[in-house]
Amino acid sequence: MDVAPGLVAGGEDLCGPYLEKLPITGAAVSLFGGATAETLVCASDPLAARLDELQFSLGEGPRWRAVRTRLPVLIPDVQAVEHTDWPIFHKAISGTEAAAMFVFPLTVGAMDLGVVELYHSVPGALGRSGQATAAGLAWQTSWHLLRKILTISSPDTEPALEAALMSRREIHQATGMVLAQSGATAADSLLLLRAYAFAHDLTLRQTADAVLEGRISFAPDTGGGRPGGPLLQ
Amino acid sequence: MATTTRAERVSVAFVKLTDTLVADYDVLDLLHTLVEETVGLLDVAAAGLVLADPSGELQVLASTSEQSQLVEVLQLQAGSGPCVECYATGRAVVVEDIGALERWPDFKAAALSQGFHSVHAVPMRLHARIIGAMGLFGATPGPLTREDAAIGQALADVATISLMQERTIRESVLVNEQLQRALNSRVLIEQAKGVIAHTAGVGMEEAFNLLRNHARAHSEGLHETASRIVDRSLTL
Repeated sequence: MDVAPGLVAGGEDLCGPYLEKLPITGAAVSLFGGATAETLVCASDPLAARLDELQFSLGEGPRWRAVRTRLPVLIPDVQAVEHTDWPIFHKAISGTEAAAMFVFPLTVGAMDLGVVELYHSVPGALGRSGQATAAGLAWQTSWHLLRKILTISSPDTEPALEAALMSRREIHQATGMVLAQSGATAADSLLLLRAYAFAHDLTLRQTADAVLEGRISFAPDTGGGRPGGPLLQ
Repeated sequence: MATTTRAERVSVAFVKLTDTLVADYDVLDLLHTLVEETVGLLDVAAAGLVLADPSGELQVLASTSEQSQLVEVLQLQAGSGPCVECYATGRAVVVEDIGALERWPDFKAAALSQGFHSVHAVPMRLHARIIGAMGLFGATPGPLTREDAAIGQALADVATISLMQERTIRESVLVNEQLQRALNSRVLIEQAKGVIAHTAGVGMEEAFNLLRNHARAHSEGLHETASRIVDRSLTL
């Protein structure tokens, strides 16, 4: 099941602000699209995209530490230092223009939404002010991504209604219920809700209400359904 | 004497709020304290607080009741209504008689159905920056007294300062750690309520009470407790 349908819209420059406000060369924003897939939302240049791709396919690199710790990972001199955590990635990027790498997790509440990966062709630290700026931008990107997740484009959803969805506590409450039922992470639970809504031509709010009222359960043992699959009761 | 008693209560409320400036505090606890103290001190039936998220949309961060009806009224306000206007203009917005309102029909209907007949929205601002608004709802038509209005604004000011205290003026991005934390905490707490509702088999209001009681009994912040519930290391 594609759990992130319609999340990547064309023509959107989420990377731009990072390049504008920070002493860096390239940026990539990557969104976790559920348990299996992940989506590169934007990359400012081919190397930025390559750095993201490499870490994803190798399964190692600073981004994984950022995801695990939910903290920024700052490497002022990525070429020089041997990293025991990511030896293959280190080898793979040697000789590229990436001299410094800074990875920031994208989180809202308990949800890990993705990462933003920045690189600089010149080695050196980001500095305290740069770190604060990057963290602030990452926060904005996180909420932007959350808004996109909560917004399902359909002909019968008015823009005003979609905007109001953002402040719907019920969606976050339902996310918590799905999390408790399915054992999935918070972000995956929200994406499960979203995928269910998408597949059944419902709004996210309608789906959330159905979960809160017990009409839909994402518990694996609700009988008869495939494990982890939502059931209409 | 009544005035002394009131002055004392007002100063106790300020001490409570300013305590958070020195201690390692939970920002949502602060905001809940703010709305509760405000209702305790002023002649209003309910209070709610909205803060702007990074896209400038107002989110309901704290309210004197977690009951969905009050939140619903505030959410409707977040679309359009006195709090939005207050946030947009940075000035207090007073609706003395909601029943006589000609604009904001959705807000009017929702507020009246909850028995609110007046609203006084005060801005949360620091210098030129407006971060949100607090709505004070009255059960009868009529304005707040001048004194009540001033106390309401002063309480909002103290909360704003404590939210903004760590802001570094030099940063090119106008965001603040506490503000980020407040908005993130609110999402986390809703998620935790959902988890509790499922595991304990209770409604959302009761789920919030369980969460808050546990946090208080263990001297934890709401954020910390909610976080452990969502990562499933704590079950209530």
